[in-house]
Amino acid sequence: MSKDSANSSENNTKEWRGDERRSKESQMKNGRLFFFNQRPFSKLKKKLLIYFLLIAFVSLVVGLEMIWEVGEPKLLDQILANITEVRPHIELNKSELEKTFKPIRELQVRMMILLFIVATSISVTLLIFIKNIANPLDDMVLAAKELRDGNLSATVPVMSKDEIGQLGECFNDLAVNLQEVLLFVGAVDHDMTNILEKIEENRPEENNENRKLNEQLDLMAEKMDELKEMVQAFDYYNVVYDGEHVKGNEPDHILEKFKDLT
Amino acid sequence: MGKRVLIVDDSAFMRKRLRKEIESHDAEVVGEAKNGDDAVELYQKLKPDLVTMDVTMRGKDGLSASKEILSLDPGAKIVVVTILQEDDYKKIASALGVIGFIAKGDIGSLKGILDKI
Repeated sequence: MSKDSANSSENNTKEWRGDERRSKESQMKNGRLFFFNQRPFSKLKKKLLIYFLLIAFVSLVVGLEMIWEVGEPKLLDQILANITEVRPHIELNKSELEKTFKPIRELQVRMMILLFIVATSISVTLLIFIKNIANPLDDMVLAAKELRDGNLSATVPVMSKDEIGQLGECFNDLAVNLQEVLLFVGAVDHDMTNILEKIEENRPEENNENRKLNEQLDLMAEKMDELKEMVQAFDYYNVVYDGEHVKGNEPDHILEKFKDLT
Repeated sequence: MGKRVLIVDDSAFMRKRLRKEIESHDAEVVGEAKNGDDAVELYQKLKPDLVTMDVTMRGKDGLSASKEILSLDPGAKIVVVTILQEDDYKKIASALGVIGFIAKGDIGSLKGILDKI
């Protein structure tokens, strides 16, 4: 974001945040955020990658060593030497030799195939780990940071029923509860402000007797305004407050849906 | 006696509050839904005597869900329970044909509605 837009009015900043979220959500729906795209390459992913590279490296070294050892002329010579030692009269020509050692050559090929299967399984497991564990955790961190900054519309996409999915669901419920409480505070503040306004209308002429009371009324109105400001400082999920749609990030709003009924 | 109620609200603690309130009036909570889609599905399955419906929810909103339920069953009794006493919401709710519109701070008035139905 450029410095200019960062310095623009609060309204614009909120708008920008909403737009960013919308585009993020639509990208998620299109599956573009499947692996690494858009998500930061998190520390957890780096760690996972290092662990898996370590496993892959060890398997590769062991596998290649075995394949190399089996194919070594030294091993074949050794076997031949052992055979001639037991049966000294045996003499094999080249094609007979090749036939004798054919199972060993085949074993070598099979080991190569096995090594390939091991390498593929390690890669697939890494991708599954990233998809099912690292990516949902990244989403949760992103949403938690948004919630920390006061955006109550932050939602974690819940893709599974396992503990990670449950954690995401609980996070979403937590944000809902928080919104509920804040909106309740806002509603009470709204009602109290209305009552104060009515009192204001009937306020008697100030004199020595009621000066203290008047001061307290003013103080109360001030506190109510402060409370309202606090409640309005949050970003809510699809909410109408004081007659206008405030800070919700949902483009498809309820009032728009029922335009003809209002 | 024993009116069957379906609670629709996305906030877990609000659902708990509503359940407590409803059960204190000798009514039975037969189901809880946390969004409009679940609400429509549960309504068809449970056919409750009363639905308490929140307005803003993640997923399908309460007014859309009310519209859907009332189109499936014009006799459905829905009471909108919301924090935001917005006139526009009230207008939409009554145009859709819900039987009540109460504030979350005033859920005690559910008793009157439960007695009436």
